[in-house]
Amino acid sequence: MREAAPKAGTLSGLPRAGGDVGPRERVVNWIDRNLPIIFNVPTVLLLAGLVAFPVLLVLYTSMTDWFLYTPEKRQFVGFANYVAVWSDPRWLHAIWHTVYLTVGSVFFQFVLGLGIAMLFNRQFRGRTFYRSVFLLPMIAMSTAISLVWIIMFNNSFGLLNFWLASLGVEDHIAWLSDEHMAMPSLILVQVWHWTPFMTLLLLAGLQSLPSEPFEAAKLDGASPWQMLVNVTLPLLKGHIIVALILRSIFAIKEFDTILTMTEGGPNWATETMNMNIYFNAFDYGYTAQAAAKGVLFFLFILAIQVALLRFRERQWSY
Amino acid sequence: MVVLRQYLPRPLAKSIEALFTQVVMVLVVGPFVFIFFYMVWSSVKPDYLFYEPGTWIFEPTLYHYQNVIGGSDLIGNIRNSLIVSSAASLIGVICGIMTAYTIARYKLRKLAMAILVTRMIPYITALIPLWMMYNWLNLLNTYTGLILSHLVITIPFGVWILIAYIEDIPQDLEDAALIDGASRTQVFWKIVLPLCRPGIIATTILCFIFSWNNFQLALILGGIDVNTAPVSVFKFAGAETGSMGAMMAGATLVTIPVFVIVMFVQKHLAAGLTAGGISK
Amino acid sequence: MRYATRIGVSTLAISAFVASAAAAQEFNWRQFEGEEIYGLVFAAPYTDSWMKPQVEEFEELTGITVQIEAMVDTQMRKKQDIILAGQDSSLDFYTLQMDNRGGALTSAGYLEDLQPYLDDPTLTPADYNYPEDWAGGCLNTVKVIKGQSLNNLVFSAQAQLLHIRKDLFEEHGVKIPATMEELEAAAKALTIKDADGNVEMYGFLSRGWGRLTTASFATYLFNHGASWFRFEEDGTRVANIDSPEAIDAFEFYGRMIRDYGPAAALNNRPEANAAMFAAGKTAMLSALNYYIYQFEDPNRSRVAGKVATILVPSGPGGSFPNTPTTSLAISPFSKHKKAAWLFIAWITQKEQMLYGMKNGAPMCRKSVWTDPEYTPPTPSWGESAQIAIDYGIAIAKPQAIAISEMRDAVGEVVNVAIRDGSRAAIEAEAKKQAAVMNQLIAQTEKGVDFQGPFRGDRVSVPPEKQVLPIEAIDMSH
Repeated sequence: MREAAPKAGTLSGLPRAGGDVGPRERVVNWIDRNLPIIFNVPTVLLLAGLVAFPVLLVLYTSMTDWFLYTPEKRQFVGFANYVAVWSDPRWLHAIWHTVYLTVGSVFFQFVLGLGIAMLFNRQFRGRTFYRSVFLLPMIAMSTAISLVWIIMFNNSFGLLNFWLASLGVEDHIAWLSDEHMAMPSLILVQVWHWTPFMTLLLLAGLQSLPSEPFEAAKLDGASPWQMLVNVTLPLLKGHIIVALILRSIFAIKEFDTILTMTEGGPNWATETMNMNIYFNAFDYGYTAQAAAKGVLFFLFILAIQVALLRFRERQWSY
Repeated sequence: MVVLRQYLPRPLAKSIEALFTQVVMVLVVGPFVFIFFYMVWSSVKPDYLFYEPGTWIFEPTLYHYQNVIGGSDLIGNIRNSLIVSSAASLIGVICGIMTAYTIARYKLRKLAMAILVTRMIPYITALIPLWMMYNWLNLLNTYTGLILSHLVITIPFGVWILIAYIEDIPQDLEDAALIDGASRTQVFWKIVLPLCRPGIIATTILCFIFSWNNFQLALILGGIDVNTAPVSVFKFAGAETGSMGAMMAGATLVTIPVFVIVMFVQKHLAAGLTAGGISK
Repeated sequence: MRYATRIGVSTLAISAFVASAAAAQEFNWRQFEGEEIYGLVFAAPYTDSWMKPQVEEFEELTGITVQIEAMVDTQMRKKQDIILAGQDSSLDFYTLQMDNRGGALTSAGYLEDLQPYLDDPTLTPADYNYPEDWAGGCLNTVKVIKGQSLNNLVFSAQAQLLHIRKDLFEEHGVKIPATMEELEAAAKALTIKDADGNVEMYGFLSRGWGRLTTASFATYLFNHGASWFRFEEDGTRVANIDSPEAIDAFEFYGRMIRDYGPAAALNNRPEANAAMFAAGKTAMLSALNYYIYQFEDPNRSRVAGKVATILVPSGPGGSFPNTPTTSLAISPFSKHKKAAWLFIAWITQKEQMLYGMKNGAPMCRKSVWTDPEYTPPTPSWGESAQIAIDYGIAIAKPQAIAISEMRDAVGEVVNVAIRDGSRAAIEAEAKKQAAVMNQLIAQTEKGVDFQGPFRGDRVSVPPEKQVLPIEAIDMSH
């Protein structure tokens, strides 16, 4: 972080007014010169303090054969766990489920969020009211709202099937108890919960856009679709990437909703990497393997975020 | 819409348009709000009516609330949650604004990345080591410990949201002040903070919400004295306890505090998040 | 005849009670005054109606401060594991189900041997009367591994029973089932459709959701003459869920839920099943015994006064009520083991257990069931619950070190049995999961010998007792 020290010509390299150097001045000067360090002391200390030890211990644990329910001593086994996980079919499925859930929920959140953000970007009566009401799902606690959804989804007496039945669809949909329906159901909950947040991020972007390109496109006789694809989306790209980064980290690590609603079932159809790690670490007691999977999971998240950041990099001035 | 304007007198076309917009908004916003309505309505529904989803009119009962308030530690845990989440979000935003400022003005890109990386760590893996560390430091079952642990949620999030706000502040303002002889710290206090105020409020609220929602850290690092609301809520989903009405009453009770807080600051929230350019 | 025994037993109980008053004077309850103990327990009916309300009285009597943290089973086990794996002294006592994680925690050395505490007259009141006053079914569940010490004290007498709507049986002239055939006939007769073909009343409801099914399914498995495991001739333990009898049981259970149950059975938690029965949507519910208190509570039920409770009907293999009991145990890493024991010994005394019984938590002491102060919620419930804890066996789960994975494996077979239901599909899945189970045994049970329960070492409920609950049904409603 230090190599980014102020360069000549940048703002912090500007000469300071006043030539005399008293003791107070000196302190202030010192603070000013070291501001990037002083200001970051609390953040870095707190985060490093909280993260360093657990991460190191997880790394170590991942190379042992720690099984929770045995009195035998742990032994160092090197990278054996990292190799073994690839022959665990549930782990392989879990990777796919994680991708499914993340892509599915973030995609729909994005499409809906963009559409609704564009609606909110227009002037109409009651806009503030609708906007604040629309943000409500963001305040919902995952564990609590999952309970509501469980009841909505119930095969026999859930509201969704009740409505379907009154529309003439007699076959009950097994929302959470069918292998093929469970993940879409979870995605529906995710979309409900986090589309407002996505909308908020994109609306902020829309409002910061200059109006000239839109007017120019209008003069050229562009259709609304062309406007969206050729003007809005390119201009909004930076905002979109940040929104996708923030949302996808959440979605990949989604846990509370899955635990409350399906516990990874039925037949592990909704077991994501995070859930699989949870089962191995706590339910099954395979602490060491869970640690190895945790490290891999972290690398997985990192890879996706780095890929997303590549897009943003071009937007950044530095 | 355009078609309407061609064939109808302008005022009429306008009011039809306005009505149409209202209908669209209700259709868009409705489903997002309905779940809350259903939650509250179900919380006063007798248990045996849960099997008649079509029954909307019934004699409401407060039985479930009595049960939840009298029979569980939810109220105490909501109080714990308020303490932990408020402190964690405040500290998170204070640390966050300072770090965000240096990142934005000194281009500390690597620090920004490092902070984002801490956000990516799957804490589910680290729960056992975290517990061991807390055990050595005697932080288990304490507010301090829980608040500290929630900082891993609030600080990175705060930093990342606030960077954009600070980048939005015109550098000229700061440069002018610096040339006038103000110190960097003064610039930060007198210019950056006031200009970022809406953003800071909005970020604090978001941090509060994310901290309020956290379940796993509270479960493992908390304890009877400091257990937070999600820990009690999860009890209602348990296999051997609770009823559906109690589940809904519990869900409603934990939503109320955040709802009230958000209502109080909702003006700042929406303004801060939309006008300030939360993302850049 | 039965009444005579009862009076005899309760006289004994009264005299024991009088004796206890004398002994209590000598017993020093205040020997650990000032100590603080912390316990991690399941959030369950007995916690709210038996343990928590009595803590204050214990604190006053002993000067020991008790902190109890109740959590949902899955989360509680997680926290328990972390604390025990860290060998931390903060946890003093906890609850566990021996048929669930008893083997794992015993093998890991996470359970303190309680026999010395029990044998020490300064730590256990003279009239404590363990195991003499404990029901056979409860004691059946205490030891799971060969050579295991007495490392837990069983208190909660849960049992899987069959709750039925006696009014519907009477109205439709259906015979109350004593055998599996009669159970299916009754379920069929009581699956009632309205004019449009919509089901108004489902005949039968039981757990159909993932690993939780093992607890309900167990009785059907054993009654069909099957078991979770068997021993090979060389003494190795292997999965037995692919035996013909087991396939019969899977087929039967799957068919009952598929044909006579609501679709919700597939994703209902047990308490949602109970609520559905309480709402009057099903004629029979195979579930734990304590739900009767919900059914008889007019605030939470539309079927109050219309419910009878009988044993799960006997099958070709006999009748084996499943009793997934809960025990109290002490952490070997605790620094207040004796104070924790004092709490366990105090709260499992007759008077304290009677308090629980009266508040809806079935308890393991025989004497509280026959105490004149106690009246069962319904006569048939009283009969069936008591037979269950006399004869019950801890078969709710395929006991093993890797218990959760075992339950998941069996859950998958039940899943196939409910959804597909063809014998071939069930057989294929059972074979597959049996192989999984055998591999888990090989992986995780080196040097650990699980003892039963297996067929042959437990007694079936005799036919004359099997019908007692049915005879006890009070048809006036």
